[in-house]
Amino acid sequence: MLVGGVTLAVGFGTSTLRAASVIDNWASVKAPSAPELKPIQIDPKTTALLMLDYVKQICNAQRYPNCPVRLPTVKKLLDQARANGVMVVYTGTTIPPSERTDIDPMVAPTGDEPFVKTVLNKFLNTDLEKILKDKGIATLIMVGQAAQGAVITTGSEAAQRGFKVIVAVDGIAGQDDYYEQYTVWHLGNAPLLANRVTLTSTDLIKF
Amino acid sequence: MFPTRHLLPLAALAAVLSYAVPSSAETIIDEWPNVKAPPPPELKSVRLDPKTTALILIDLIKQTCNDQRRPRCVGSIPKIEKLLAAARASGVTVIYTLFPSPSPATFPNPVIGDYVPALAPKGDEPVVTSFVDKFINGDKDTGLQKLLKDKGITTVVPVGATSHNGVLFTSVGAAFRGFNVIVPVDGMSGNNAYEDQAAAYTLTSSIVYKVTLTSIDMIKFQ
Repeated sequence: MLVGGVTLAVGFGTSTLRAASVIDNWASVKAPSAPELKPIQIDPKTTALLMLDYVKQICNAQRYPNCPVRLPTVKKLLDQARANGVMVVYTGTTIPPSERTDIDPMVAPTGDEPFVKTVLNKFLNTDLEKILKDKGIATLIMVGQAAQGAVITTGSEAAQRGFKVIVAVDGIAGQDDYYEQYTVWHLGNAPLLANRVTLTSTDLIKF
Repeated sequence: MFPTRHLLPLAALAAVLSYAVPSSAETIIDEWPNVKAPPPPELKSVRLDPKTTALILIDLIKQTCNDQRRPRCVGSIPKIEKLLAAARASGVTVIYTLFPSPSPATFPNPVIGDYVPALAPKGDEPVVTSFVDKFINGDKDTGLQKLLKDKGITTVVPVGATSHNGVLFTSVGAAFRGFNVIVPVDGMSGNNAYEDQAAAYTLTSSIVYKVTLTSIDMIKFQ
């Protein structure tokens, strides 16, 4: 159910915390070791840079503070991508509503760079796959936010649809560090994804 | 003197901010050892209408739900078995899922007969097959949404493996399709506690969808 929609039709009793599963051991749960970031050489002809939700409604100090902090890093990657002829695709979200013109000026689209809009998984209810496949794109470099939202869902979906996915960890921002950490770990380790996702940083990407 | 009780909300806020504020480090890799888990989510009791509720068993097959591959999954079986029995006794719709093998040459495509015996389907309980989000398989609709709508289902209860894939993404997919989603935390399992924790936090902390976290003994069908 979407937040803001109707209330649950089922009846809920009094909220109580009961002993159960991971809740019992919550404080003692440890994250696995940090994954290794890998250098990567990409083919500009078959690679697209996917700029996820750099819209002012969420890329701000209040909503996702790491987003504005990381914009200069992302701008550098964007400049390199364009200089090498890499396709650049932008996304916006519907919660909250946003448009192409809401993208932060530092990394704003130029010319006819495509823009698609939906919440979370950018392949659902958009032409994103067609836009990419029509250009012969086989590899996606992903940066943006939210780590726990668009990044993890779109990254998973892209891998399932057969794309190679490159995640620049210094180009993603989440609601908090826990989410950023989990997103990085998930994309690098989850079944099916592990073989199709490469974790790297912007300075380890060579065009 | 400032009443102590007035300080409690501030203390709680400080506790939240201590984990919630992101760092400005170059990457999360730099901050990795210092990342703290958020507070645990609250579990809620639920009463579900059997006529409009479906229990979805996700990928609980012998090949992966065993002591060698996923002991946490094995640990969840008796609890899910109890929930499954209660659901069937109340006339709740029960749906099963499988996943296509990513490498059929070395891991044959699972079939419904691979379900762990304690949780095996009965009669004509339907089966859908997909990776992670059971509503879609790549760009194809699995038919799960139509299956649910045709039966008048408005509430789904996903359980199974893994917590951070099939359960998490199917729950999110269901929420976005307008279903009420109830996830018992002791009915989902990953490879380790970290995956279960992350799934529980993700399910309950989104600002764009709502999922109710509960436990199996806090679910009543009536």
